[in-house]
Amino acid sequence: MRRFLFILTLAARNIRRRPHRSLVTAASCGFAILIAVCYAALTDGLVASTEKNAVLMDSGAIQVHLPGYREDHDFYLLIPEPERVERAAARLGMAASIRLYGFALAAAGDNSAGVVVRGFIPEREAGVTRLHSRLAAGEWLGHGRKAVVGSKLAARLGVGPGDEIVLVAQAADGSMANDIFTVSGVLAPVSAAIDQGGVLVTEKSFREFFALPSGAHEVALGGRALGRDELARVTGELACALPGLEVMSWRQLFPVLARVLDTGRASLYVMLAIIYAAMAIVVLNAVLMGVFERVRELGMMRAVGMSPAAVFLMILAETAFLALSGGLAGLALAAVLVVYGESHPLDLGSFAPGGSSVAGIAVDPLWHTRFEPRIMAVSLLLLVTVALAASLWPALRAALMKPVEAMGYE
Amino acid sequence: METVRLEKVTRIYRQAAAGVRALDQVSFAVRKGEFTALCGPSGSGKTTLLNLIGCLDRPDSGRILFSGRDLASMSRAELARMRRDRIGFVFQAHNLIPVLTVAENAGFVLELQGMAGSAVRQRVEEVLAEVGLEGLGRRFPADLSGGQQQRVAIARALAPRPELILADEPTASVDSVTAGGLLDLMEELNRGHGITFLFSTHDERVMRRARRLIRLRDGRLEEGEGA
Amino acid sequence: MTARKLFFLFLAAAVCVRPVSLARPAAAAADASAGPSLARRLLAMIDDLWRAESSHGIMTMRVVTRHYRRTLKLEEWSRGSEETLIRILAPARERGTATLKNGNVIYTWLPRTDRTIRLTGSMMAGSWMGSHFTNDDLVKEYRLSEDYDPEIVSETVRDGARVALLRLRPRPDAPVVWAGIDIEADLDRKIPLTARYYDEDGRLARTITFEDIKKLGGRLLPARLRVVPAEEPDEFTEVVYLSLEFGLRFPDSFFSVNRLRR
Repeated sequence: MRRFLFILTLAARNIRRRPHRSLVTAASCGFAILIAVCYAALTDGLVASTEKNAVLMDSGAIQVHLPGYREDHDFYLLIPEPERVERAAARLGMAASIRLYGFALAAAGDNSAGVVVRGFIPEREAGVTRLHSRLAAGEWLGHGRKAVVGSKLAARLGVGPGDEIVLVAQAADGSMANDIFTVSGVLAPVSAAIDQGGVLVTEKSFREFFALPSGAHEVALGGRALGRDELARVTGELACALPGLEVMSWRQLFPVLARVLDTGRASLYVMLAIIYAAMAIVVLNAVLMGVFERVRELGMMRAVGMSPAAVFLMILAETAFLALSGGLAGLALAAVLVVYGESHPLDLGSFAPGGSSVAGIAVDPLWHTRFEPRIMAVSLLLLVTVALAASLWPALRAALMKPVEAMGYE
Repeated sequence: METVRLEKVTRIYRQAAAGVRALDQVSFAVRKGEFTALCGPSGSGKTTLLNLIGCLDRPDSGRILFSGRDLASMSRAELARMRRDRIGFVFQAHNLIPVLTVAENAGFVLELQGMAGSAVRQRVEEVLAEVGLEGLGRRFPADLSGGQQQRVAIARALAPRPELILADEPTASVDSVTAGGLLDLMEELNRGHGITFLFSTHDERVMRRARRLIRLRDGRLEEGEGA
Repeated sequence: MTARKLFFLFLAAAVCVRPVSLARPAAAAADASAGPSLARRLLAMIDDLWRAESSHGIMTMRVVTRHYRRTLKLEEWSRGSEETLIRILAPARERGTATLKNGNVIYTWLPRTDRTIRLTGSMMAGSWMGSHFTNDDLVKEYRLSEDYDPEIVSETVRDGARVALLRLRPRPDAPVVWAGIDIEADLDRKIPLTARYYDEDGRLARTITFEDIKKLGGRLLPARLRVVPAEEPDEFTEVVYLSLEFGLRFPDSFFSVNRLRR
């Protein structure tokens, strides 16, 4: 133990030998981790906000339908007892929201558009999605025949909060449903479907309008943050509890989005690998220089009895100190930037004025970073590991030098 | 009592096609308490001989016995321990680690041995006093003169109480006055503490101070030497 | 919707209009060039059965589907083939709802919301008033004798009447939906009794039966038409004429959007 501490002391002293080089090496480690963590935070932020938009703004984590409903949206394919789904969800600790969908024509003034009317109980929906938090203007659904409309639809119809729209549709009884709804709010971009043709109304309004007294087209589940594996497990459990119903996670519902998000994460690792590889080259160079310029000294140390293992350990410890000090400094700076970025997002709106989307899901134009302590810890660990790996070879060379030859080295 | 015994030691460097006989059938012994100079012109095999005795190199033939034990029977790790615990080294130059203080350099081998901190400090104080560097422990080697640096090297060699101190041209890189001082110190350590010294030199003035001379020429002992 | 219009709706109603080219039989081609055959004359008479400068009628429409059944009482006025106004008389909940066809455009007036809506895009493919017709069906003009070559494939006697089976094949490049129509017609009264429609794959798509032949507005016409989709044999839409008159005069403003609201 005492010997080990002595080697660490020796390593720490050696760092001071070439202050400039040590500084540059440490700085490159710091820079690498800074870039890595910031990049990870931005990617995570984008992935998280897109996933959030998909899951928290629209789909919910899991959806339950009658088999076949998703394929042709047959108005009459209703889950007969949605309460059964709600109970099963509750047993798994999840919130559930009954949803109804119907095609309609929306008209305002001389403008009209085909829309999908979505009916739900606002309080229940709030347990599953945060649609209510995405209002661009006006208010959320209240009592009476109120409607919240998608952003592009509102623009197309030329309506805003307080304006009236007429909805016309074929009701469940074959009659011509028609009614006036007051626009209470307009949504910010959420998803292609909602943006372009989403009209949200209360479940009660929907049932009256479409003459549909019972049943539900969809039950959306959420209210619990589920990791990938947990999501699959809960989906499976729910499917077992609800025979005859189709239970799908958002990953199954939007495989393209899931893949895009997974790719985003994969590209993060590729980026980290590139950054760290560049850093590894800097470290390798510095350690090699450090070894070669003191070959005689290393030879002398070996001659007076220092073991090869101790020399090896000393060189690695030097690298570890540099990587740790630079890494911690870079990490601290990165943490400050990332935390700042959480509350001060990059505004991408100016680059893509029309808004952009990934696989039909709107991308938040305000690009928030995401502070993930785990990513920070992993980055630092990875940094030190990579730096140590980069100095393995020079350390090994230093350890295995023959003292006699080393002392004769010119 | 013999500290080191060489029996027909031969060392051939195989750099050239034929090989260079750096040492050829060398036999002699160093007894405890001796103050012996190994002399000869440069290239005569002095350093090679010291490297062999110092367990830094192995002979191509012949035997080296250290306190009666054959070095050939020892593993590399055992040899490293031998160097650390039983032999002191003083080289011509580059003896010290520039980033360690004088005291830390002096205690270097003790630290490698894993000696307790207080014991190291106490022993370092002793040896620094013995080599006449008391009070300079906190300096760095770069702050010292060449002679003082060599004294630090001697202190380091002395610290673990070795059975033998090998010094390869210890005075070659200092002026003659300083060299005289270093020899005074070595002699004093030899007489006062009974430390066995074997040092190489090609300087006549240094040879005169030795109590025993072993002369080497072209890798062979000159007449009248040996056991 | 004129009575004639409604009739041809039954004959040629389509979700989409897509040309179907089938090779015309050589015999039929020879027939066509030789002058109007019996088959051709019969088809032309069926085409003209409901033809009138103007009409006004009252009818009931009964719709039965898997999901609902409903009965509407309708009043209609028409002038030529371009202008039609149709208004719901019953049930009370839907009373007053009116549809105006003007050329290719359909407006619907909804009393509940007091709005006039011009149907566009996907709404045109939607069901008209919950029946087995689409709004598109309303605006399309059909004249079978222009798009199909008829051939009498058999003649039988049923209930003392001579019944001919008229087989219709589309003319090359004619923009038709049905790959074939089989019409059973009363040869003496020149009135259709049933019509079967076949899709591109030769499968029966729908069957229409014409019943209750009587004098309506001075013409001998089937007063009851019933369409049964082949996919849902338990579903149907049935129209029964309660009254029908031809040759009326309407003011020019009669078929206008303003008139819809009444």
